[in-house]
Amino acid sequence: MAAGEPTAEEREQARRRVEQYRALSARVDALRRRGEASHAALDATRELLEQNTELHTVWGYRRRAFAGLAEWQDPERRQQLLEAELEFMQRMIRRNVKSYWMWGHRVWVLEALPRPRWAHELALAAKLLAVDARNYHGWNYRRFVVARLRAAAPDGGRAVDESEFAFTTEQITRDCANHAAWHNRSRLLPAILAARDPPARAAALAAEDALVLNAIYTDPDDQNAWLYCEWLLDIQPDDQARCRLLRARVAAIRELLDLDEACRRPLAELAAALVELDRLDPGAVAAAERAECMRVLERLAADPLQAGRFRDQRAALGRQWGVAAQTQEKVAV
Amino acid sequence: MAGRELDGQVFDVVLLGTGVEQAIVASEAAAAGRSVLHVDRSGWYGGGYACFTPSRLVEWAGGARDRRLVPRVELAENTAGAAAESALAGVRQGEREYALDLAPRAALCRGSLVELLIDTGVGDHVQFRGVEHNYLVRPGGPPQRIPASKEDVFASAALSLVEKRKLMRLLATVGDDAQYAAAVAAAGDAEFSQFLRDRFRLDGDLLDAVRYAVARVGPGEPVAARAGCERVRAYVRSMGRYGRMAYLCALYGSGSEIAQAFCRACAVAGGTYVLAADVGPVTRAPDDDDGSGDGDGDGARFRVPLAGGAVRARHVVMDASYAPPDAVRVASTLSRAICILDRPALGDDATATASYVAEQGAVSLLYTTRATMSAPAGRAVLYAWTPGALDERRGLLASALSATHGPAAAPLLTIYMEVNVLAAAPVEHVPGLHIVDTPDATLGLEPAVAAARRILGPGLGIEAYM
Repeated sequence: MAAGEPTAEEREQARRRVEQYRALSARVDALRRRGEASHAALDATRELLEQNTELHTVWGYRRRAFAGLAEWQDPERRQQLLEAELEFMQRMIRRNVKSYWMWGHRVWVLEALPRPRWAHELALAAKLLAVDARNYHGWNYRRFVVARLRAAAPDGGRAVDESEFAFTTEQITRDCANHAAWHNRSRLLPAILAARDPPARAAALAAEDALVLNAIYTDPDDQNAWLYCEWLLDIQPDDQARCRLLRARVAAIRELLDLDEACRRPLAELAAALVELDRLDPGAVAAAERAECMRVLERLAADPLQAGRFRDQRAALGRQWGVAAQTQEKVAV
Repeated sequence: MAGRELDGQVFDVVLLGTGVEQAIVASEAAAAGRSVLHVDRSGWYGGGYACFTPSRLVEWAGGARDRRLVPRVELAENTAGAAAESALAGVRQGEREYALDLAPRAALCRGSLVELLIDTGVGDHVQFRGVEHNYLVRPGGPPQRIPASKEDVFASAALSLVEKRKLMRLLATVGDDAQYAAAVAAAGDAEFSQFLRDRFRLDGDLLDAVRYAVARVGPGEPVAARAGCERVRAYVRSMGRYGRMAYLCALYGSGSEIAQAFCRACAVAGGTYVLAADVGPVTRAPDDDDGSGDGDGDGARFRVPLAGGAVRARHVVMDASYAPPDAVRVASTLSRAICILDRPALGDDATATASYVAEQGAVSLLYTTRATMSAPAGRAVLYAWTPGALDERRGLLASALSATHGPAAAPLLTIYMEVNVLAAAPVEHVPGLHIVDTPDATLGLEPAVAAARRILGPGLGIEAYM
């Protein structure tokens, strides 16, 4: 017998397991068709779901079974039933953290609970993200819990927003390429800014810019920081602020390119920044910088995979600025 | 009496001194089936890597200390008179919980020692803690954390944005095989610091951090770009294997515990151990006579007088402190300091390396606490060392210590030592006799593994794990 092949005993055990699973599945199916809402139904569905978290019809049936119980109407009994359900789910999370149906069910449980413990749920989400900082389910669940906390908060959710914002800072510091953390931050920032008075608002924006520059200098080719950059441009209070930001950005990119000619993304961003600057404030970009922009686009067009895009952009800019799009020197191929 | 029992016995390999190098050779020789006798004239393991409690250290300093190896030991209490008594009392309390190393060491997480410990299984008998932080210290301090990973760089408050970019470029180049090869090829014969300046535009603190704290190049030590880059690469490659650290430090004695583990493995494989044994000068019978006088040609030319008797050996491995004066030279001199702090200035449960860089010179430091069972809770032991004689370097060591521990902690007891690195004199090589240097100023244990390998392979013809 080759190593790894099942023995006769193992095959028999597997066969018995499949048989038991099929029998259980048939039993649950029969209960479901009858629409039975009883403890027997709950026991059977739990047994089946323990073996397979992905049976979304069974999760749905389990919810109907709960709601159909006579004792469902009594808040105390409901609290007990659902707390036991949460404990059951806690065990299941360990087995399969990324089951959509399981998380959906948990959301239903929390919404049906007379007295949900949101702080505990927040801690659960934090633990998930500590294990895997990019777990979509972790972030999604966190947003759901935070939304509930915000709704229930007496101060309209300010404290919740601040602590969530601090949480994203912590996540970004741990891994500046964590897209989910940057995304979450961008969703919180408007509320954070609105909660501050104008001088503090400017300081907060400056802090965001410092954070994103930190990420750019650490890893100039990572797209997360650049996406956040673009978004920060949008959220500026007026065009004047935007122009100031763009100018600072242009200076930073030039410094970066001076240190490290190899990075590509900053090059593309330099061209984009100059173009945007010119659009917001016509005439702000003088002839020398326009020529610089054209040269940058020429360099970017040297990549055969992106040649078309940058050549087009260069030609269009050339027409707009009245600058010759053709270079006099031979272009290195 | 060990000497009487062993008298007249013949061994394939007799090793003198239980330092890390000899311990590795002994363990591998025994595993390869050779008969091994391993002797130390001291009553403890470790040789030049030995580890003491404070009172034992003082005892050793006044008594059994090999004055050729450690010519000077000075005790400096931080104050005099009654205050000194209370300072010493502070050390005496829980003094058995201190493990003071004569030669503090660490092991690169992806270095030859760790690989050897894993391959031989000897690592099962040693516990380690990670050296979590690496500091650059300037005169006056405070210590600045040196980031060595992208996360560290991002989170660092000490580096400017430009410095972050420069450091990331260096880390990225070193971490990528193709870029690394290209950089090294382009370096040619350039000197390391010049290369770092030219290619990566490093200067100031960042340059010093990479040279001293990452590549661990000594002050004034001329290092070619290739060699320096290799060291940076070894450091960066070691990061992440066990966490955010490049080095591991053994518990209960950063060098001696490792030597003991290999000795244990040797004994299990049949090696014989004798401690606290008087060892006489080793003699070698000429090639046309095996020395036994009975013409049986067993090739055991060496005669090792041992505790009243003598044994014979085909090979003798010793560190230079066991060799006669005419066979030994002083390769270099170090000044060392062991400083017991009243408070764990750099963290209560932490281990850290530091490099103090000043105009007068550079000092290597190792900070240990209860994390490596080097001190009782609430205390710390800070080691410092630098090349040079004690009279010239005492002030520099003192400055390095105080800049590193800062005002947050005060020294209870500082022990200064002048240590010679003894090596074989450049005389004609005697076949079968292998002399290793006594511990030098390197932090890593990898050179010790290399020294052991040179003896095992070419010397003893043993290839296992090598």
